[in-house]
Amino acid sequence: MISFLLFTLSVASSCLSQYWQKHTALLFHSQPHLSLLQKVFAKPMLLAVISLGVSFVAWLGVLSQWDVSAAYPLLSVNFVIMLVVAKYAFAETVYKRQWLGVTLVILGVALIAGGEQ
Amino acid sequence: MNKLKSAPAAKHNVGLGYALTSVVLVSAAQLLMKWAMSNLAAYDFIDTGLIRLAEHPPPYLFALACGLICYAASMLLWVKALRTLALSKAYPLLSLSYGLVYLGAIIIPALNEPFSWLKMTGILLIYFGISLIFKKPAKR
Repeated sequence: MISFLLFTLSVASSCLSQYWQKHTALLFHSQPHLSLLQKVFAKPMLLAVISLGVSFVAWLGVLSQWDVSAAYPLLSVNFVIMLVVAKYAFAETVYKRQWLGVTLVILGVALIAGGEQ
Repeated sequence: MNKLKSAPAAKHNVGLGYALTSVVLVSAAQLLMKWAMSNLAAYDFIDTGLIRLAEHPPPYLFALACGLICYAASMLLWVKALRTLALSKAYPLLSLSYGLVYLGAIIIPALNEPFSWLKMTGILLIYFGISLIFKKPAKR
């Protein structure tokens, strides 16, 4: 149960980190003249780094409990969540083909997770 | 002869090299961290004492540090790879690391994870799914 919560925390904060990484990239693109210090201490950058750290520590907790051959591919739910985030938070176009891909990823994840029960 | 190669093609190859190295590194990182964490999980840190652990570090701590370094290096190489390599090539490559980690986990005796067709089928589905997500849109 704890390992499941850790896994969820790891995936959630990794997605959060990617969300803030995208904002960091957008910020650097819109303000190309920021100094290195301003870049390092920019709010989206700090949030991206902190959530990446949380995700990493939670992941180590997962590894102490689960087989890595099952846990690692389960991380691909990340792609599913990020495609939804790309569509709704960043208004990117998502094609049918990509939803089909997401369906395959979910099926794969379900097979692996189901086999571990 | 190599100089005749067009610049974009050469750049693409460099990107491919970065991406493949990154994939190998991230797979190694997962296996190292798994080995370290499953052994460290058996440690009673309160009983052992963190200071004594620091004086006589078990090999797992070293493996954990190596895993962390491989992980960080793979992230840096990944960012470099993405500069020249199309996402449609890069992400299917990254999902190869699921296969590598799976192979490593069942082959390496210290990990000794069970082989299963179900897991392998799942990994294949994920690979094709990610290939579809990042496939280049057809040219009109």
